[in-house]
Amino acid sequence: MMSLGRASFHLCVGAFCVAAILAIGAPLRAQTIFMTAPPSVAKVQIKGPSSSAPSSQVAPRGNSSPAAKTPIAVSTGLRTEGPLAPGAVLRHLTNNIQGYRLAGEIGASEWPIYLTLAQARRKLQFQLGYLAAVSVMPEASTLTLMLNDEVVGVTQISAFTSVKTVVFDIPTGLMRAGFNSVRISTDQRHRVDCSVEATFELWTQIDPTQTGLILDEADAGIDNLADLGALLPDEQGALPIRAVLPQNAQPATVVRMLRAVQMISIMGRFEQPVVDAGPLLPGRYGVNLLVGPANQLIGQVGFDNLGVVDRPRAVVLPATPERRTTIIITGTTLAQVDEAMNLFLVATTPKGAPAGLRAAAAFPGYRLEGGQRIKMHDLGLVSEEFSGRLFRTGFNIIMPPDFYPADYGRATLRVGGGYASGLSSRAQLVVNVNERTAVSLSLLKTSGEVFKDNPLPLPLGFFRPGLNRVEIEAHVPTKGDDNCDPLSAIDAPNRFLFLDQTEIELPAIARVARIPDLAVTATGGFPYAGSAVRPKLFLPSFDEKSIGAALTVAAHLAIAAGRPIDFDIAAKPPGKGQGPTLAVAPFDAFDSGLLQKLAMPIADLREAWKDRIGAPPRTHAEEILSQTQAAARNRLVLQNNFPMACHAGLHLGTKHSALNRARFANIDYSAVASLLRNATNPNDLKQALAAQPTRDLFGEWDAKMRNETSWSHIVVSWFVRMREWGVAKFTDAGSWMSKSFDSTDGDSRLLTPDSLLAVGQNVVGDGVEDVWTVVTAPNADDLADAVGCLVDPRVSRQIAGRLSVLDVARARMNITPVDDPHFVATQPLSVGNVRLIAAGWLSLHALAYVLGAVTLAILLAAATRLFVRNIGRRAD
Amino acid sequence: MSRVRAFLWIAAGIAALGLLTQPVSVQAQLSLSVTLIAAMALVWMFARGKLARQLFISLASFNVIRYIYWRSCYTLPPTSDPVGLTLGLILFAAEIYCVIILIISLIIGADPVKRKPQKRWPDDELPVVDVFVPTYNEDEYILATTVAAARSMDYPKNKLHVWLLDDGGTDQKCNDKDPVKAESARHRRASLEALCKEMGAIYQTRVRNEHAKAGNMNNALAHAKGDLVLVFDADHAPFRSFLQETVGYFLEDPKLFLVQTPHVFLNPDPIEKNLRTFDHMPSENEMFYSITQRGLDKWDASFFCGSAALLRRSALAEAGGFSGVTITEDCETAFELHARGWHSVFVDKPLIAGLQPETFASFVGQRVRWCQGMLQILMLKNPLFKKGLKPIQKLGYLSSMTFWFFPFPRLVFMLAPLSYILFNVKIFVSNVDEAIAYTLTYMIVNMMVQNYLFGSVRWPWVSELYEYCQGVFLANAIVSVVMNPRKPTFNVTAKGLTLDNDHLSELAWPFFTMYGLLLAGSLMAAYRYVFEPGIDNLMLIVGLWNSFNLVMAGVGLGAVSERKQLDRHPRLKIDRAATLDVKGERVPCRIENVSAGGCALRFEGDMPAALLEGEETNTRLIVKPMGDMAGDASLPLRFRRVPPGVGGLYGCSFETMNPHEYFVLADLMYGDSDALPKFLASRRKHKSIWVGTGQFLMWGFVEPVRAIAYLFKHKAKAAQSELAAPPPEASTVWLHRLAAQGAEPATASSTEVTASPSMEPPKKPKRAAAKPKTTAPRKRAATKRKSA
Repeated sequence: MMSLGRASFHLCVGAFCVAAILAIGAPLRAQTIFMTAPPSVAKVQIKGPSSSAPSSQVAPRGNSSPAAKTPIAVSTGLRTEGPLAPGAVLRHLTNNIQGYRLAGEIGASEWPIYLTLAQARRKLQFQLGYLAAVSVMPEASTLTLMLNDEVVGVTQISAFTSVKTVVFDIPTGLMRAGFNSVRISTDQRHRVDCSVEATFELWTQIDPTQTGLILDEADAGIDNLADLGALLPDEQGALPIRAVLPQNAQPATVVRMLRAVQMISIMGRFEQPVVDAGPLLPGRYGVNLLVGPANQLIGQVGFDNLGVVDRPRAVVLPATPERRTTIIITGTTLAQVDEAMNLFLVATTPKGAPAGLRAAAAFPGYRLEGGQRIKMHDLGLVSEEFSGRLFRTGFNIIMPPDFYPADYGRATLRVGGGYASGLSSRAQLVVNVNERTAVSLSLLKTSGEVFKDNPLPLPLGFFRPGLNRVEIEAHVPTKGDDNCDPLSAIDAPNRFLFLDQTEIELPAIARVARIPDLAVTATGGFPYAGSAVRPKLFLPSFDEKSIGAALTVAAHLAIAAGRPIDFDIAAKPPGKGQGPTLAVAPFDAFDSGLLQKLAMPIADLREAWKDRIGAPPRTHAEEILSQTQAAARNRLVLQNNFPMACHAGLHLGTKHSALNRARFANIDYSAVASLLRNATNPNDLKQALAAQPTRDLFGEWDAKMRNETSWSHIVVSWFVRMREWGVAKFTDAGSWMSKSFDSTDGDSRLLTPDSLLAVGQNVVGDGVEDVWTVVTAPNADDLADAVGCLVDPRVSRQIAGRLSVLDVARARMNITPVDDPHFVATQPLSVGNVRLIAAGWLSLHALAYVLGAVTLAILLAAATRLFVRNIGRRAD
Repeated sequence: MSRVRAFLWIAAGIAALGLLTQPVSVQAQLSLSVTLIAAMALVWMFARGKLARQLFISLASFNVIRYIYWRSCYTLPPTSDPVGLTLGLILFAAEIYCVIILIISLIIGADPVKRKPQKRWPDDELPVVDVFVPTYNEDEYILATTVAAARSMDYPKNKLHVWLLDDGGTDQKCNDKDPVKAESARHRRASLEALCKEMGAIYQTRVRNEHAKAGNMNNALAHAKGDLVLVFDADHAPFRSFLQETVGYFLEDPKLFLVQTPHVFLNPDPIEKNLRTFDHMPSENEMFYSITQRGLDKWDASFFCGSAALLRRSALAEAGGFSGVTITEDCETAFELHARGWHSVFVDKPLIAGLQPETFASFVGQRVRWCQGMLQILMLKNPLFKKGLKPIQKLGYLSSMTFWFFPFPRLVFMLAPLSYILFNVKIFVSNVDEAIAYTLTYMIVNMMVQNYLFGSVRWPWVSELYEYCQGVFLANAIVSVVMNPRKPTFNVTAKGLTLDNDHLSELAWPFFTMYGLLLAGSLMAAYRYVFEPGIDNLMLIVGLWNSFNLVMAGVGLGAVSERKQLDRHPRLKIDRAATLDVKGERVPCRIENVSAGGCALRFEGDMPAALLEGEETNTRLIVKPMGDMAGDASLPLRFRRVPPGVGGLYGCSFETMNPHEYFVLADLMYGDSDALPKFLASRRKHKSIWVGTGQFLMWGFVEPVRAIAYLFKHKAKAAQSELAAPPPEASTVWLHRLAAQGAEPATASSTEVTASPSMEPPKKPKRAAAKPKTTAPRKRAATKRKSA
């Protein structure tokens, strides 16, 4: 314990370590053992900065009029052609809540990306594939790549009909072993329309299949447990884990497998592992996982690979053409296998570039507990000057799962920034929390303003447990936008300033878990994580698909909880008091009496799924799409910013695009930009880049404001506003009217034709021990497909209520809310917390609050009367 | 048992506080406040009795607590805006002050005492009463009326001694360095001595004018031997039943030192006069007497108001007489005696009729003294640390004293919106939803409480008006007394101001300044609303607030635009049978109203022919006395043959009266004890919020026009006579009389009744009395700012 405690691991991982030790209950070994080759054995080719033109770089070709294509000074849109050198591997970005889309005039997204030492030492390139909306004006739109807070390249946005890929050279030494930050941002302007509304048409979609670090195949893989973070996610950003189970696997084997899956996900910081069960798989992405005594496994991976097993061992086998990277957890006996799990506990501090560590901490969201404040800088946002109409920036925070959301308090966003003079009266600052407008502030000074601390209250009821997205929008139209000259967007004056000193302050929050409430479970693993009684994973159907789905769901809960959950697998329904139960199985595997107890809408589900229930298992799972089909599908997905896993297999038939995995090798490069090419000396570039960031934006704007506040200026802008106001009054009234009539709240039906999965929760007994969560789909294939969709962050964050039904075609959860949840304490009882919980409950039950108050008023009146009548002089 | 009750009450209170300080959502708050308002309305409409009253207050207090909780936790400007924060804190402090005053007033007024009439005691058990009438510069006819009324009180004559305590004729005054003043004082002394002799009163004066009124009365205490001391201001004439209603309490409680009765005025104060509300609106002081003093009475904390009160001489002796450290000796005396364990009683029955200042300037002067005196006590003898007082008594005194800080919050509320309108300083952080759920409902509740509790004695917004009108000047006075509590600036009110024409008060300029400022604010708000439309909601709300302040300032302008005084002598409505003796012919008539200067009568039959002979006829009015009056009960009357008023009323004026004829006048005016309650009841009609607000808005639009008209008239007049004659000095009235006597030696002291413009009109020369107005909950508006 002490030796672990000394290691300054990330907090939640540290907690996990302790929990894992307690949960597993095995003695900790002082010595960690890796059955991998020492680093020196790995084929590492260290290329110094002087090494010119690595194999993957292609000679420039100046024949396609670069001058015409590069109106933007920074951009160096040199075209290159020809395939990437064989043996290169794309290290994809992991999936996040924004889903690879950069929308609006300005957008940015940051990812942490983990590199091994070998990878970091290489000369690296970054490939960016994207598709943009046709409205984007190429002359005024750019895509910028920043790595570890340094601009690596800027390119003009020019891909409107098909995905375009751009390759950026990364200056040597910029990437470090461990976590690095990848920040992709866009600056886009509309071709023809200057209105604020039109900016919503602007988007650039990063094609995850075409985006990532280009790694040499030789060092693309990992060879030891310390580098789990460098496992390659697939092109959708998920980490595929193939659970290689023996024939007729026993529940105990699955339990071990589950624990290993959880370990890999947590230690490697994968947010979206997708597990399937089956034999060893080939391919570059993902990992094969084998758990069991050596004598059973040798048959599966071969004697050579495993070596002599005489003690607990965790082995990483690098990928080969026949086999993914494979992790083997083994020992001579089952006990040794269990002990080998501890080998994952590599207690090292997370390493990497400072920006990378920051990005890792803020990915997929920054964890806030209440009573904290955090600056935007630490969330990966940067100070920016903006010349368009709609400034947008956002960040993700993760609220604790037992956060009780209601309007009993408000988070304060203290915005630092400014706006220029000459804005129209509609200029405003809007803060959206989870796509709902929480607060807006008119930017009303005609003279413009700069501020360092403009507090905007965000009611806590807008937040929810788990991932929350907060977006800051500045609508800064000018009167000139009405007479639209799109070309003026090029080199337009700045209208808005955003400072990364902006901070969000979260007040003390009410913390209590609710049962049943799927949101609490999905965001924190409650009540499975930390349960006093060992939680049960009930698998009535023990087929591979169902097991894979169950492992995926369980791993997801463990990730949400930040520590492994020690599930016990049950083939029979556990009785009362046996521990909270998670059940994952096809619909017909469940006893309908059980489902009834869980208050699942059995009849409705059966009706909706009648064609699918009991469908025979698919024999050949992966039907190859033609290249055209694959491209069409890909474009559709990108244009709609749709979670790929959800879409696949439905709208385009049951064909899985195995082609996607092969496409990378024969991609047709249409554009490669390289910043380094332009700079004759790489050091010049570095200096240029280094000179950029240290500007005092606040000071500059402040000085500018002072200069601009002349009387004539104010009078003119007032006059302009007055004229505009008259017009605006009418249109505002009109839009307000139409808005109030147009109150369609989308399709709120619970079950739709595309419903493929239902998650239900209920208490069948008296307490936390008797909570059941059921994940079910019409059949095992659908279950596996749908669970893959379910764990996409964009989907999983929607899980809530008593019943959540997944509509795969829309990647949307339809919710049945909980009427009257039980509260379960998760924190030591404190007056402050109880008060906040009460306030939250009363806010949600205003009637009870009002009646309580009136009752108390009557009581108080009577008590006062009684008291007063008998003291002092009697009046009459 | 009492412990159980106290515990129950405290438990209920803590539970309520616990629930009300929950940070619930704005929606829940809105539901709560709307429900509370609805419940209050239901209680108001359908429930009666003390429990219902308590419930109403309890419901209202819930809303107030919610508001204060929200206001203090969420609405203060951020520290990053120091100017906004400072101003915001000032506004907040002003609101908190009002809430504290409200809470204290609710505690004190928890259960006002309503006393049964005193039983009649046998004559031989009654104590000996000395009536003190301290005077400084009042006219002889006023003193004669008061002395006559005091002598006529229904009480064994051998146990009733009336003392005229003249501070205007002291040795010091008679030997003044100014020979004119000295002569005037000597004349006054001789004249009053003669008057007392004739009327059976005791004239008492002293060597030096030390310690003002308290010193004067202490001097008399040394000479008087009675058991009880009854104090009347010179212009406070008692009704016949005064002693019958009050003396009994002293027989019931040997530790009783004070029986106080309300002061009732027959003439309007300047604000009532200038807004013409006297006949239908309850006077400002009625709330203090009929609510606050009754509330204090429950806690044995009602206090001495300088006049119309009986005190036990032994109690005064124990405390060394009337206290004279501060300029409000009355409250101070009661305060000291309460601390010594003596008790007080308040009898809520109007038993005296008095006069009050007529000009705005003298009105303000009076209030400055009350205010400074009360604050002197607060600073020199803080009730909080006074030994011997019960906690509730401390609270009572504290409330009466801290009440006088009202000018500051009032001025803050008047000026606060300007900070946003003119300087864009945001002093109240809120969005529109919250402003509606908290601030608006709070204001509604405040209005309802005020109207529910005080609606019969106070019209809506009138408290605010009085506060505003005094606020400008009292603020100054408070600062000076706080700076130097031992040396309050004792402003002698300028007197002798003529009221025979419409004019602006000399104190009017701050009101014009304020009006101009607020008008500019409202115009600016409208301007910005149009030109900076991005701030619709905020500017609209702040602009409305400012506009209401503007209305208030407009009414204030009306209050300082002095209307000419038509009635020299205030009338009292009576209904008495009398006979008119016209040259031997006796005609029955009824007297409908009476004043010190005349009466209005109606003939029961035809008008006698003799009256038709001339324009004016000297007659005698023979009154059927109510009391045991000896001799000829008749008054000299001059009948004017002018077309009669409504109901065939003829206005007549009294001719110069002999001293004994004042007894007839006293009997006529002060004989019927029901006259005064009837008069008060006629004004005490519940004024609803809507009607009251409508009335107030009306004033707000009309009165500034009148004020501006006066302003131009004043300008025109000033142009005509560059040098206005200096106002006559306060104590020179006797000089005037000398001059009058010189001019008309045959008709000595006859000028009062004809009310010649050259003469000093009857004045209310209050010197130092403490009548804190009761503590009304005040409304306040609040600026809203859309989320930051």
